[in-house]
Amino acid sequence: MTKLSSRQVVLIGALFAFTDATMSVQAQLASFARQHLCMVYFITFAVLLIPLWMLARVSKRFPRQDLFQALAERHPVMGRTVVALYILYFLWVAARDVRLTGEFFNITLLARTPVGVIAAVNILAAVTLVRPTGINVLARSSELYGTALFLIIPLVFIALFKDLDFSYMLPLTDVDWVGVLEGAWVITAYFGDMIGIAFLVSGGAFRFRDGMLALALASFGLMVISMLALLSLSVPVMSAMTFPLYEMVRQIRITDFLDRFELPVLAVWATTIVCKIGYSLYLISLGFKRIIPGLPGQRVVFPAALLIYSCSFWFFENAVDMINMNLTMPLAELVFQFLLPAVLFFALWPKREGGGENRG
Amino acid sequence: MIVQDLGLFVLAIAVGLALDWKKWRKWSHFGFACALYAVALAIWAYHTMSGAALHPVSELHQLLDRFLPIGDQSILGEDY
Repeated sequence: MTKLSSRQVVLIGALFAFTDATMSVQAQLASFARQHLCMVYFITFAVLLIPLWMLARVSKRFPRQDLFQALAERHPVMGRTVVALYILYFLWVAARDVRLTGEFFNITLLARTPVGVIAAVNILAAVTLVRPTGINVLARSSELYGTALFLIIPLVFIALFKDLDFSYMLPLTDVDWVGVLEGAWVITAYFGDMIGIAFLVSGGAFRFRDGMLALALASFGLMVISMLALLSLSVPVMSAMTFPLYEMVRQIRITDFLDRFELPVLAVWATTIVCKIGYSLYLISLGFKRIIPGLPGQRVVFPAALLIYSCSFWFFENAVDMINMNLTMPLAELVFQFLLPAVLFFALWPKREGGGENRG
Repeated sequence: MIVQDLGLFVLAIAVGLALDWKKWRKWSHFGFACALYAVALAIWAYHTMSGAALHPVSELHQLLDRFLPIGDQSILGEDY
């Protein structure tokens, strides 16, 4: 059983929430919440504490097992059904990430490279991280690249500070609460992927404090980046762009030497999204391993990766469809991010000592 | 193009099988891995050959879209 350190859990959780929430969903956030973009993150932070708390409590009840294992052993039929549902959920998350990243690089940097090739490279990188040692290499990669990614944020702030126009935040007191709530609706689905850390961390090692720190780190980091984009691009421009944060980073010029600052940023970000695909791939393999006793998880990684690859093209019709889906998919994702954690919280309630024998 | 896409996918499956060859302890586990490969290949073949008639998540979006008050007009931004 692999033990992860607290720092690794926090960084994995933060990357789970952060990486793909920097994509096209930011444009929708800007169009809904407008100048009050930062409020969306406070709401999301508060709401997601609930499933994280429930899963942390459940994890604590099984100090020698991961959640999939606990489910499969406690309720052999229903437990395995829930594990299968979560496999489908993480398959969907991974397929979305693979396709989204492929489309993003195809549009922005590699216009002549087919999306399929970019997606294949991404998924192969994830397989290389997961297959040899499971979560170990993934956790260490997250420590390296997650730290680098979060260190870039203050750097972007310093580089962009002279271009910020604080009048874009006005009128400050005229809050469109419906718009803010719609923005929270859209982004919560992305942040909610973070519940994966509760399944990733085994042996009751997932603590609520780590989950909260991860959520706080991701929320704060993304809030700063979003506000920087808002203050440098304005609401109308930001909401009309496909990848507003990328466009914001492209504005940065640090002397002639680093006039393409977006390239090193993208290099770090791409590695973190590969890590996120790796988390989903690991969870899918772990789920299969728990459903079928004795199945070596390591050997399911490659077939699962190919399944993710084919599903990433089959699930979504085109890139525009993926942007539209940000509005409706939260409805389906809430089942996995709120409803099922609540079900687990009650279904995996600790058994009474002595059982029914003491009742008489 | 279709033959090339399918051929590359089959090649990837062959590489996957070769990586784990002789490491399987139970035939049932090997069978499960083969079933996963078969599902992945079937989906890929359907995607490349059918002209992509059905996309499950896109269809789900169409279905759920009717019940949600949030419209998708905002993806193109607004006129200010």
